[in-house]
Amino acid sequence: MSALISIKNVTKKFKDLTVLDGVNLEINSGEIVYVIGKSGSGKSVLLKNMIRLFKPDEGEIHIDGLDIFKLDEKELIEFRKKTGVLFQMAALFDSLTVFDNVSFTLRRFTKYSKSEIKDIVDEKLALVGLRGYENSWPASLSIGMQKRVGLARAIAMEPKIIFCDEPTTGVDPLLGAAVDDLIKKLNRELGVTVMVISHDMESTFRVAHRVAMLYNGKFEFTGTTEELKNNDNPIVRQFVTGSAHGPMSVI
Amino acid sequence: MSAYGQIVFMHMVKAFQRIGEGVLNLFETIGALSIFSAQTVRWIFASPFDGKYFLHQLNEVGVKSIPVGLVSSFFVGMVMGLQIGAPMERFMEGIASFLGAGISIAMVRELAPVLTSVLLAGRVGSSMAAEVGTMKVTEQIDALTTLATNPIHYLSVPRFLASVVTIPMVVTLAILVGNFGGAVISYFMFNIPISQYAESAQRIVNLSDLLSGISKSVFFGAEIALISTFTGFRASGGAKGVGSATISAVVNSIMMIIVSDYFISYLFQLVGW
Repeated sequence: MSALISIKNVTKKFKDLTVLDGVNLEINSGEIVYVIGKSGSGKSVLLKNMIRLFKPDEGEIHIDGLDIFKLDEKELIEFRKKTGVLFQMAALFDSLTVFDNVSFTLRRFTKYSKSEIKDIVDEKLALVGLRGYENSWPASLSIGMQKRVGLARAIAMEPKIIFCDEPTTGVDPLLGAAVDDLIKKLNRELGVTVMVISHDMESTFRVAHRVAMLYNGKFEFTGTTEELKNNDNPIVRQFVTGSAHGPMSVI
Repeated sequence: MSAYGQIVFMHMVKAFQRIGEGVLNLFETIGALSIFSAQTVRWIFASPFDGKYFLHQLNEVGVKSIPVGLVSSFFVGMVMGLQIGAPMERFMEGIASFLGAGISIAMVRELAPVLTSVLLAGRVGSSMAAEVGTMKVTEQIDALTTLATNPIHYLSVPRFLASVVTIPMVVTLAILVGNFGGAVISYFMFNIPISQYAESAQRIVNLSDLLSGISKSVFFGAEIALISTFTGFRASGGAKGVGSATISAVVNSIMMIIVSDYFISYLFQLVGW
């Protein structure tokens, strides 16, 4: 089976700093893959390359059979429709209501009638447990609720792949668990492939099918959560156990 | 070379380096702004066009600017009447009856377009830079991109169109209200009937003056929208970055209005406006 997402030798530098150094990773359809690593390890940079906000200096990224850096304008729009992104702080449009945020792409790119769009928005908001908040403004919602609206917006067009940037950061443990359940539910019920950037180990063990750990611009570990648990690489162990002492410098 | 001479030399090298960096940055910014402006114009003709968002911008840029534009132009007209009328009367009694000509030509050709645009650069430009800048630093612009929406198309085009459509309208109203202010002072201070003020104004102001003034404000509107949105797009570094972007959007817009006013006026004179 060929992978749905294929990252080949991706290198990204910022001036003299090499953030990603020939990174390789494959993600199969229907998988939930967590990319973990300490702050500043390049997780978000990798994500931004995968959603075409950055362009790698070297290497290729193929998603659903397409080299995402060789798309023309039309193909790029199609690629965007196939992917949904949940940003770290949700990045909801604060000049639009929850309804307008969730229906943003539906209004712009589909020919659905107003009532059909309303039904879809209702369904997505129900899925994230926020039915009845259609007319609220993002600023009036807690960060946890904003993240759930962000997730509803990301899945409005029913994408094949969802990228989540630290979905449980900044939310309380209960809400974190709820967000995790939501990701699992989307994967299970809609068959969505999910890639999550995280440093939340509890969430990683709870949700991930496979885990890849970034360290010094390369993947130090790739495998299942079980393999991660039993891995004896001191760098991996230090991160998994959250120890301040070990081969990885903390500060 | 003595130690003192070496220190002076090092400082001079550093100063030249800074000047060089400044010049390079200026050219880089001008180049980037030109590309941004060209892209904005290109995206005007792309679909989908968000009519609801455009109407929102018309309201923000145009309707909400009317009070600022009108109150200030009314008082500018009155101040002009006061400041010109009294010395003229001292020079020659009865000459204030030509106040309508003086105030109207100044209002139509320069004062209303430039002053109103400068005021709107403060009101509208700061709002645009702050809003777009906040969207930039909170990843909302990245979110737009991932939602298959070009940020220039969605954010810059409606602001640009709203500015080039509504700012000339506000300027037109400012011309009328400014003249009304002048007429009020002429009547109450110098006993000049409104009809005489209007007749005097009609004698000197012709269509080309009006076209010159209003056309200028189209350019000023475009400058405010493009500079402010562009500056917002380049904001970085959280609240401080948004603050800096807002300041530079307003300052650069005002400077650009004043500098371009000279060149546009010169160009219009060449074509007989």
